Amino acid sequence: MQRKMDLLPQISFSILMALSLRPRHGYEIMKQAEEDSLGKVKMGPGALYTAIKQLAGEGLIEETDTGNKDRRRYYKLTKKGWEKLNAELEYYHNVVKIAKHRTAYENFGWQNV
Amino acid sequence: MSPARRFRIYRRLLNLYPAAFRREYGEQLLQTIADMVDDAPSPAERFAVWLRISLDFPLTVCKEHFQVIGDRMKAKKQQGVGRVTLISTALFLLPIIIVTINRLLMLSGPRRGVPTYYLIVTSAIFPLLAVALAGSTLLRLWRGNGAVRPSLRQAGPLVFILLASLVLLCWIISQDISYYNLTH
Repeated sequence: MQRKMDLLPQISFSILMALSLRPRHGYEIMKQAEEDSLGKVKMGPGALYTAIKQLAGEGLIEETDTGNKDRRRYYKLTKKGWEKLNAELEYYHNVVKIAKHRTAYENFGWQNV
Repeated sequence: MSPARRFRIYRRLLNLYPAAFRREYGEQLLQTIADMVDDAPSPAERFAVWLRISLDFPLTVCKEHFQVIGDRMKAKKQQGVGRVTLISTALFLLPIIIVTINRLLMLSGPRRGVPTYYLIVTSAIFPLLAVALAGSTLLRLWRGNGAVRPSLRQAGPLVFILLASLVLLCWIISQDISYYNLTH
Protein backbone atom coordinates (compact mmCIF):
# COMPACT_ATOMS: atom_id res chain seq x y z
CA MET A 1 0.00 0.00 0.00
CA GLN A 2 1.26 3.47 -0.89
CA ARG A 3 2.00 5.71 2.11
CA LYS A 4 0.12 8.99 2.46
CA MET A 5 2.34 11.94 1.60
CA ASP A 6 2.38 14.96 3.89
CA LEU A 7 2.98 18.06 1.84
CA LEU A 8 5.29 20.69 3.25
CA PRO A 9 3.97 24.16 4.08
CA GLN A 10 4.76 26.81 1.47
CA ILE A 11 7.59 28.42 3.47
CA SER A 12 9.29 25.10 4.23
CA PHE A 13 9.07 24.10 0.58
CA SER A 14 10.59 27.43 -0.47
CA ILE A 15 13.45 26.96 2.00
CA LEU A 16 14.24 23.50 0.62
CA MET A 17 14.11 24.90 -2.90
CA ALA A 18 16.48 27.74 -1.96
CA LEU A 19 18.93 25.30 -0.39
CA SER A 20 18.87 23.00 -3.39
CA LEU A 21 21.35 25.26 -5.18
CA ARG A 22 23.98 25.64 -2.45
CA PRO A 23 24.31 26.14 1.33
CA ARG A 24 22.90 29.50 2.40
CA HIS A 25 22.42 31.63 5.51
CA GLY A 26 19.09 33.03 6.68
CA TYR A 27 18.88 36.20 4.65
CA GLU A 28 20.08 34.46 1.49
CA ILE A 29 17.35 31.86 1.93
CA MET A 30 14.74 34.63 2.26
CA LYS A 31 15.95 36.38 -0.88
CA GLN A 32 16.15 33.18 -2.92
CA ALA A 33 12.68 32.07 -1.80
CA GLU A 34 11.28 35.44 -2.86
CA GLU A 35 13.03 35.22 -6.20
CA ASP A 36 11.93 31.61 -6.85
CA SER A 37 8.30 32.48 -6.15
CA LEU A 38 8.41 35.64 -8.29
CA GLY A 39 7.91 37.75 -5.19
CA LYS A 40 4.91 35.82 -3.89
CA VAL A 41 6.61 34.23 -0.86
CA LYS A 42 7.75 36.99 1.47
CA MET A 43 8.63 35.70 4.89
CA GLY A 44 9.73 37.54 7.98
CA PRO A 45 12.79 36.50 10.00
CA GLY A 46 10.64 34.87 12.70
CA ALA A 47 8.74 32.76 10.18
CA LEU A 48 12.02 31.82 8.53
CA TYR A 49 13.68 30.54 11.71
CA THR A 50 10.49 28.85 12.91
CA ALA A 51 10.46 26.89 9.64
CA ILE A 52 14.23 26.26 9.82
CA LYS A 53 13.82 24.88 13.34
CA GLN A 54 11.07 22.56 12.16
CA LEU A 55 13.01 21.40 9.10
CA ALA A 56 16.17 20.81 11.14
CA GLY A 57 14.10 18.92 13.70
CA GLU A 58 12.79 16.64 10.97
CA GLY A 59 16.32 16.10 9.70
CA LEU A 60 15.65 17.71 6.31
CA ILE A 61 18.31 20.42 6.66
CA GLU A 62 21.44 20.81 8.77
CA GLU A 63 24.02 23.41 9.62
CA THR A 64 27.18 23.37 7.61
CA ASP A 65 30.60 24.93 7.96
CA THR A 66 31.41 26.97 4.89
CA GLY A 67 34.68 28.33 6.24
CA ASN A 68 33.29 31.89 6.37
CA LYS A 69 34.38 33.89 9.38
CA ASP A 70 31.08 35.75 9.88
CA ARG A 71 28.48 35.07 12.56
CA ARG A 72 25.95 33.71 10.09
CA ARG A 73 24.98 30.07 10.20
CA TYR A 74 24.73 28.28 6.88
CA TYR A 75 22.28 25.50 6.19
CA LYS A 76 22.27 22.72 3.61
CA LEU A 77 19.93 19.93 2.58
CA THR A 78 20.46 16.49 4.08
CA LYS A 79 19.94 13.27 2.12
CA LYS A 80 16.47 13.04 3.65
CA GLY A 81 15.88 16.67 2.63
CA TRP A 82 16.78 15.92 -0.98
CA GLU A 83 14.43 12.94 -1.01
CA LYS A 84 11.62 15.03 0.43
CA LEU A 85 12.19 17.84 -2.07
CA ASN A 86 12.21 15.39 -4.98
CA ALA A 87 9.00 13.76 -3.74
CA GLU A 88 7.33 17.18 -3.47
CA LEU A 89 8.48 18.21 -6.94
CA GLU A 90 7.22 14.95 -8.40
CA TYR A 91 3.86 15.50 -6.75
CA TYR A 92 3.55 19.04 -8.14
CA HIS A 93 4.70 17.82 -11.55
CA ASN A 94 1.86 15.29 -11.56
CA VAL A 95 -0.65 17.88 -10.40
CA VAL A 96 0.34 20.20 -13.25
CA LYS A 97 0.13 17.30 -15.73
CA ILE A 98 -3.39 16.43 -14.59
CA ALA A 99 -4.43 20.08 -14.61
CA LYS A 100 -3.13 20.52 -18.16
CA HIS A 101 -4.92 17.39 -19.26
CA ARG A 102 -8.16 18.65 -17.73
CA THR A 103 -7.83 22.06 -19.33
CA ALA A 104 -7.27 20.41 -22.69
CA TYR A 105 -10.37 18.25 -22.19
CA GLU A 106 -12.48 21.25 -21.17
CA ASN A 107 -11.33 23.23 -24.21
CA PHE A 108 -11.33 20.60 -26.95
CA GLY A 109 -13.20 17.50 -25.72
CA TRP A 110 -11.86 13.95 -25.44
CA GLN A 111 -11.32 13.44 -29.17
CA ASN A 112 -8.58 16.04 -29.30
CA VAL A 113 -6.74 15.12 -26.09
CA MET B 1 28.85 47.19 15.40
CA SER B 2 27.22 43.83 16.18
CA PRO B 3 23.52 43.36 15.34
CA ALA B 4 22.79 42.79 19.03
CA ARG B 5 23.97 46.35 19.82
CA ARG B 6 22.33 47.90 16.77
CA PHE B 7 18.90 46.49 17.48
CA ARG B 8 18.71 46.83 21.23
CA ILE B 9 14.91 47.12 21.32
CA TYR B 10 14.41 44.12 19.12
CA ARG B 11 16.94 42.17 21.18
CA ARG B 12 14.82 42.87 24.27
CA LEU B 13 11.70 41.82 22.40
CA LEU B 14 13.41 38.55 21.59
CA ASN B 15 12.89 37.65 25.25
CA LEU B 16 9.26 37.06 24.35
CA TYR B 17 10.24 33.98 22.37
CA PRO B 18 10.53 30.72 24.30
CA ALA B 19 13.98 30.37 25.88
CA ALA B 20 15.06 27.36 23.82
CA PHE B 21 14.19 29.08 20.53
CA ARG B 22 15.92 32.29 21.64
CA ARG B 23 19.09 30.48 22.60
CA GLU B 24 19.18 28.55 19.34
CA TYR B 25 18.14 31.22 16.85
CA GLY B 26 18.20 34.62 18.67
CA GLU B 27 21.56 35.75 17.30
CA GLN B 28 20.69 34.52 13.81
CA LEU B 29 17.39 36.41 13.90
CA LEU B 30 19.23 39.62 14.75
CA GLN B 31 21.81 38.97 12.05
CA THR B 32 19.07 38.38 9.46
CA ILE B 33 17.32 41.61 10.46
CA ALA B 34 20.62 43.47 10.16
CA ASP B 35 21.09 42.00 6.66
CA MET B 36 17.54 42.96 5.69
CA VAL B 37 17.92 46.54 6.91
CA ASP B 38 21.36 46.94 5.31
CA ASP B 39 20.03 45.65 2.01
CA ALA B 40 17.18 48.18 1.90
CA PRO B 41 18.45 51.13 -0.17
CA SER B 42 15.86 53.80 0.65
CA PRO B 43 14.05 54.92 3.82
CA ALA B 44 10.77 53.73 2.27
CA GLU B 45 12.18 50.24 1.77
CA ARG B 46 13.62 50.24 5.27
CA PHE B 47 10.16 51.14 6.54
CA ALA B 48 8.72 48.22 4.55
CA VAL B 49 11.31 45.90 6.09
CA TRP B 50 10.42 47.00 9.63
CA LEU B 51 6.73 46.66 8.83
CA ARG B 52 7.31 43.09 7.69
CA ILE B 53 9.30 42.36 10.85
CA SER B 54 6.60 43.93 13.07
CA LEU B 55 3.89 41.81 11.49
CA ASP B 56 5.99 38.68 11.61
CA PHE B 57 7.15 39.06 15.21
CA PRO B 58 3.89 38.64 17.21
CA LEU B 59 2.71 35.81 14.97
CA THR B 60 5.87 33.78 15.34
CA VAL B 61 6.13 34.45 19.09
CA CYS B 62 2.61 33.01 19.51
CA LYS B 63 3.38 30.13 17.16
CA GLU B 64 6.53 29.19 19.07
CA HIS B 65 4.74 29.32 22.42
CA PHE B 66 1.90 27.17 21.08
CA GLN B 67 4.53 24.80 19.78
CA VAL B 68 6.08 24.56 23.26
CA ILE B 69 2.66 23.98 24.83
CA GLY B 70 1.88 21.37 22.17
CA ASP B 71 5.17 19.59 22.80
CA ARG B 72 4.57 19.59 26.54
CA MET B 73 1.07 18.23 26.07
CA LYS B 74 2.35 15.57 23.73
CA ALA B 75 4.86 14.51 26.38
CA LYS B 76 2.14 14.44 29.02
CA LYS B 77 -0.19 12.60 26.71
CA GLN B 78 2.37 9.84 26.57
CA GLN B 79 1.93 9.56 30.31
CA GLY B 80 -1.83 9.58 29.83
CA VAL B 81 -2.52 12.93 31.52
CA GLY B 82 -2.35 15.68 28.85
CA ARG B 83 -5.69 15.17 27.19
CA VAL B 84 -7.46 14.79 30.53
CA THR B 85 -5.98 18.07 31.78
CA LEU B 86 -7.16 19.84 28.65
CA ILE B 87 -10.67 18.38 28.75
CA SER B 88 -11.01 19.00 32.49
CA THR B 89 -9.95 22.63 32.08
CA ALA B 90 -12.34 23.11 29.17
CA LEU B 91 -15.19 21.59 31.17
CA PHE B 92 -14.45 23.90 34.10
CA LEU B 93 -14.41 26.94 31.85
CA LEU B 94 -17.60 26.09 29.95
CA PRO B 95 -20.12 27.21 32.61
CA ILE B 96 -18.34 30.54 32.96
CA ILE B 97 -18.56 31.07 29.21
CA ILE B 98 -22.19 29.97 29.07
CA VAL B 99 -23.25 32.21 31.97
CA THR B 100 -21.35 35.18 30.52
CA ILE B 101 -22.96 34.79 27.09
CA ASN B 102 -26.34 34.43 28.71
CA ARG B 103 -25.79 37.55 30.82
CA LEU B 104 -24.94 39.48 27.67
CA LEU B 105 -28.09 38.14 25.99
CA MET B 106 -30.19 39.18 28.97
CA LEU B 107 -28.66 42.64 28.93
CA SER B 108 -29.44 43.01 25.24
CA GLY B 109 -33.17 42.48 25.71
CA PRO B 110 -35.67 41.44 28.39
CA ARG B 111 -36.96 38.39 26.53
CA ARG B 112 -33.62 36.99 25.50
CA GLY B 113 -31.55 34.48 27.42
CA VAL B 114 -32.51 32.00 30.11
CA PRO B 115 -32.60 33.03 33.80
CA THR B 116 -29.04 32.68 35.08
CA TYR B 117 -30.23 30.52 37.97
CA TYR B 118 -31.32 27.68 35.70
CA LEU B 119 -28.21 27.99 33.59
CA ILE B 120 -25.90 27.65 36.57
CA VAL B 121 -27.76 24.54 37.67
CA THR B 122 -27.65 22.87 34.28
CA SER B 123 -24.11 23.90 33.42
CA ALA B 124 -22.90 22.47 36.74
CA ILE B 125 -22.65 19.17 34.91
CA PHE B 126 -19.42 20.30 33.26
CA PRO B 127 -17.33 20.88 36.41
CA LEU B 128 -18.69 17.65 37.83
CA LEU B 129 -17.69 15.76 34.72
CA ALA B 130 -14.29 17.41 34.88
CA VAL B 131 -13.85 16.23 38.46
CA ALA B 132 -14.98 12.76 37.43
CA LEU B 133 -12.53 12.66 34.57
CA ALA B 134 -9.59 13.99 36.56
CA GLY B 135 -10.34 11.75 39.55
CA SER B 136 -10.72 8.62 37.48
CA THR B 137 -7.49 9.33 35.61
CA LEU B 138 -5.58 9.87 38.84
CA LEU B 139 -6.98 6.60 40.10
CA ARG B 140 -5.91 4.88 36.90
CA LEU B 141 -2.41 6.32 37.08
CA TRP B 142 -1.92 5.77 40.78
CA ARG B 143 0.53 2.99 41.38
CA GLY B 144 0.48 2.67 45.13
CA ASN B 145 1.79 -0.71 46.31
CA GLY B 146 -1.07 -2.66 44.77
CA ALA B 147 -3.55 -0.88 47.06
CA VAL B 148 -5.93 -0.33 44.15
CA ARG B 149 -6.88 -3.48 42.33
CA PRO B 150 -6.65 -3.40 38.51
CA SER B 151 -10.38 -4.08 38.19
CA LEU B 152 -11.16 -1.04 40.37
CA ARG B 153 -8.75 1.06 38.33
CA GLN B 154 -10.57 0.11 35.16
CA ALA B 155 -13.97 0.75 36.74
CA GLY B 156 -12.71 4.10 38.11
CA PRO B 157 -14.07 6.37 35.37
CA LEU B 158 -17.50 4.78 35.56
CA VAL B 159 -17.65 5.06 39.36
CA PHE B 160 -16.67 8.72 39.31
CA ILE B 161 -19.10 9.60 36.51
CA LEU B 162 -21.94 7.80 38.29
CA LEU B 163 -21.18 9.60 41.54
CA ALA B 164 -20.96 12.94 39.77
CA SER B 165 -24.27 12.32 37.96
CA LEU B 166 -25.93 11.38 41.23
CA VAL B 167 -24.75 14.57 42.95
CA LEU B 168 -25.90 16.62 39.98
CA LEU B 169 -29.32 14.96 39.90
CA CYS B 170 -29.85 15.61 43.62
CA TRP B 171 -28.83 19.21 43.17
CA ILE B 172 -31.13 19.82 40.22
CA ILE B 173 -34.08 18.24 42.02
CA SER B 174 -33.47 20.29 45.17
CA GLN B 175 -33.10 23.50 43.17
CA ASP B 176 -36.21 22.68 41.19
CA ILE B 177 -38.24 22.14 44.33
CA SER B 178 -37.12 25.45 45.84
CA TYR B 179 -37.81 27.25 42.53
CA TYR B 180 -41.32 25.70 42.49
CA ASN B 181 -41.87 26.83 46.08
CA LEU B 182 -40.81 30.34 45.19
CA THR B 183 -43.10 30.66 42.17
CA HIS B 184 -46.21 29.00 43.65
